Amino acid sequence: MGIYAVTGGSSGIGAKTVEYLRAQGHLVYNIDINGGDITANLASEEGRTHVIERLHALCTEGMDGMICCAGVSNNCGNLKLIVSLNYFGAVRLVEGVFDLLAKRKGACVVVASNTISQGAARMDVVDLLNNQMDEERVLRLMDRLDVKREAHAMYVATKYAVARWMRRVSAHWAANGVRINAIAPGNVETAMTAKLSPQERVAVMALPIPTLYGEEKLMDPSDIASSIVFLVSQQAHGLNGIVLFCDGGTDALLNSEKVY
Amino acid sequence: MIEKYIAAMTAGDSKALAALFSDKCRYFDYCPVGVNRTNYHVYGRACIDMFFHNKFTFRTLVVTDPVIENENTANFLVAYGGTYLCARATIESYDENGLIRELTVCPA
Repeated sequence: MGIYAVTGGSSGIGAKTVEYLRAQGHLVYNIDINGGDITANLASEEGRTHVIERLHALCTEGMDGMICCAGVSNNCGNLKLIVSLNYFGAVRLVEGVFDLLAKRKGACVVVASNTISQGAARMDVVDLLNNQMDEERVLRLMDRLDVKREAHAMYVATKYAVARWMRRVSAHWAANGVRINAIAPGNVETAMTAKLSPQERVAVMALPIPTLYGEEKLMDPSDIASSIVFLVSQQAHGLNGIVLFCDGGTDALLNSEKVY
Repeated sequence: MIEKYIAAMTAGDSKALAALFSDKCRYFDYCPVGVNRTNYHVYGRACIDMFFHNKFTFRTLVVTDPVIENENTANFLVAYGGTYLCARATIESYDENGLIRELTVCPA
């Protein structure tokens, strides 16, 4: 039996991941702002500290896996929340439990997005996030940006930055026994996408999913969760530092010339 | 066929466009590199439908002002992400059912 923690485990991809891991007999701690085993707001430093302390108290023998699913889309209309939850809510938490993962030679998966390959990220913000790691400063910058105009670019920036941070640390982490990878989902049917306006739905459907061609559907959270469970499993022990696009082929459709 | 191709492209109709192509078609567009984008290499009818649905919906590909040159060739203005250039489309081959097997677009 392994010991795992999943953020955002009360709904969507996170909930399916918790379900699959528990079905395999693992002990799983769901970390969520809504009804988790550990209830916390990962958008705040206090929330992250609370979770890190709780996991150290609960997992004295270490952890086999840390999976960061918690996040918000650009539709939340809150640039600060996008930055604090999507980026710092993953990176700070994972850094805080590295020692627990190292104890059991565990693995980590952070959730990015297949939008990172579509050229919409604010790369200046990506650089600030990755290079400065100064949350307060980036949040002050958000005060000066127009929410409606920048929300999508900021969402993509946080996901791009998470993926690039993962790539940067992956070699050192692996050399110390901890694998880390990212998964880049396409558009998934979740509570977030269920609330889209008709206009937003048209935009979402204009990112076609080849495996669902001819169907007016988005991917199912189980599609992503099963890949996450694979990435943290021993079967994936050769995978480290990769961004796994789990989008039914959307990225290949729109970026066929990008092989690496 | 070239007129139908131009009609679908100017209307931004990915379904009509895909219907002109054979199941295992190839569509090569060598213009985007001229505006610092990646060229298009689209394989298969379903891929044409999906790929151009994306381009037309977000208006990252807009075809205007077409001129039919002959039964297999037309030139037009095309905007990739808002940057215009003049391009020429050529139907290179057809399948046994008269559907387009290969079409190329090059700078004109």
